[in-house]
Amino acid sequence: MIAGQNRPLSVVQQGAALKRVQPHSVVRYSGHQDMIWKGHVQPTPMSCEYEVEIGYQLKHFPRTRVLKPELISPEGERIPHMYDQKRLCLFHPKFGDWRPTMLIANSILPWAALWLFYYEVWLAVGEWHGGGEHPRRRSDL
Amino acid sequence: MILEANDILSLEQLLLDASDSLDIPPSRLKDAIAKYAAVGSYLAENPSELAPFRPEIYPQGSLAIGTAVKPLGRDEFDIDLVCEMAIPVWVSQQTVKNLVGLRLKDSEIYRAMLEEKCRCWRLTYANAFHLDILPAKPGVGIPHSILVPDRELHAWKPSNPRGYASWFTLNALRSGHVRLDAQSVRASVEPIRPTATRARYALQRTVQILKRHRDVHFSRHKASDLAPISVIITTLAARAYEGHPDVLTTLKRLLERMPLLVERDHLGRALIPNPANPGENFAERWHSDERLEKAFHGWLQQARLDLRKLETARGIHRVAADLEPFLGQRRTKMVVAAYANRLGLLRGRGTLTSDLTTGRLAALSASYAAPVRQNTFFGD
Repeated sequence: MIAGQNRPLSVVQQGAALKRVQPHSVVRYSGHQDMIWKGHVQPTPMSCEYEVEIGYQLKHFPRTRVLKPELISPEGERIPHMYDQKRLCLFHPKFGDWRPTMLIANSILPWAALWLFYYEVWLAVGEWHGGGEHPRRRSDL
Repeated sequence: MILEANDILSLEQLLLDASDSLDIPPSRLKDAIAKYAAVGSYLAENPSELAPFRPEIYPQGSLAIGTAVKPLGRDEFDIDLVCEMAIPVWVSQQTVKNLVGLRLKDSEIYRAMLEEKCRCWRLTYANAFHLDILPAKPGVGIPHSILVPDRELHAWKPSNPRGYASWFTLNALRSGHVRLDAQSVRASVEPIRPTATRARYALQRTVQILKRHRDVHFSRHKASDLAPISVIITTLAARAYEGHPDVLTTLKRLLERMPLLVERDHLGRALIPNPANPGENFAERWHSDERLEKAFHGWLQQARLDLRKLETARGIHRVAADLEPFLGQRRTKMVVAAYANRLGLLRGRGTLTSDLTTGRLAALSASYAAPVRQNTFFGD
């Protein structure tokens, strides 16, 4: 579908792909360097339906936020695998999980669905079942 | 071992996982069968005084019909066994019971595990199960029926656990989705000697969930003495069952239909006849305590409300909260964790997909789906 796997995809290509998989979603571009996409994700029939926002700026990693419903946490605990309790941490920057040659639509987006699945499970059982790492706990390794 | 629903992330899957977690674990079942077979051999072989009576041990109750449920707050499963012997007519119930007890006490090992109950002998295998051995002799009239001592050990009462197990199994098999294997066909024609089994069919799993809901409900209300006995739940459930292949629909329909199937006798008292043993009324104890019938209907009503909440909950955390009345708090967490770990297995194998249009996760083969690439969640 997209030729030239070695070249980073453009912001417009990323936005177009997202629009293609979710035709009712909204993309806003700021010039050719930046875009913000808002779409919906419902990981399972039992899950809530979430509105998520993915922002992408060339030469930066995509940033994912959950807009609605607001993420909750019991007794003010920190929700696992977030940056500053605002953005979702969907990949390890050092592991090369995500590269600018990848389509956000079939990487970041499903990872957000997966994150939301494990987030609701975490709310239910008090443990994160999705694996992963936390940067501050290198002593655990 | 664990049955998988069409959608492994659906509420149906969660209910299948729930029933599986309540059931006797396969290894423990195998162990129990080996242990009671050993007891049977021990009772039958010389120099046992029972040897001339050719004792035969087989399961009755929940293990014979695949509806065993972990008791609340305890590790040990209760395994009900019949010890059927060709006892001559002149031997009394008390004597039969004593003979079984004496033979068991002859073994140092069994003696240490032995406890006398009013009609039966209990062997306790710590942290695993209780074997409750009820002495019996062949009945008259109905084939495969038996006679068991009554509670006071004065008379022989008719009973028919084999017939009941066959009847229940026939009802459980009532479904277009199930192949009738040779064993099942034989069961429908002639009661075979039951072996202990785990739940396989929707009716069995639904009964497990109902029994557990009963345990949680009456425990919370500190009224366990008012809880309806399992055989009432099992019998009405089997009669109410319409053959649906899934647990969720079965649960919904059973909760609606079961209360309507309580009959009245000629004096207007509650009647739940044993389909395998005419004359036996499972609701007999309701006659002397009017709280029991009320408790039964109140419980079913609460269960209907709880199910409605469970079905309409949005968000796995809310589904989990609404699952608690059915399983209890601790077990709910275990079941949700197992449900989540199944997804982890798919992820590890690379067969997890996501429908990008909705974000819906699924096992490989969903339409317009893309495999979810490996990733490692990060962040603080």
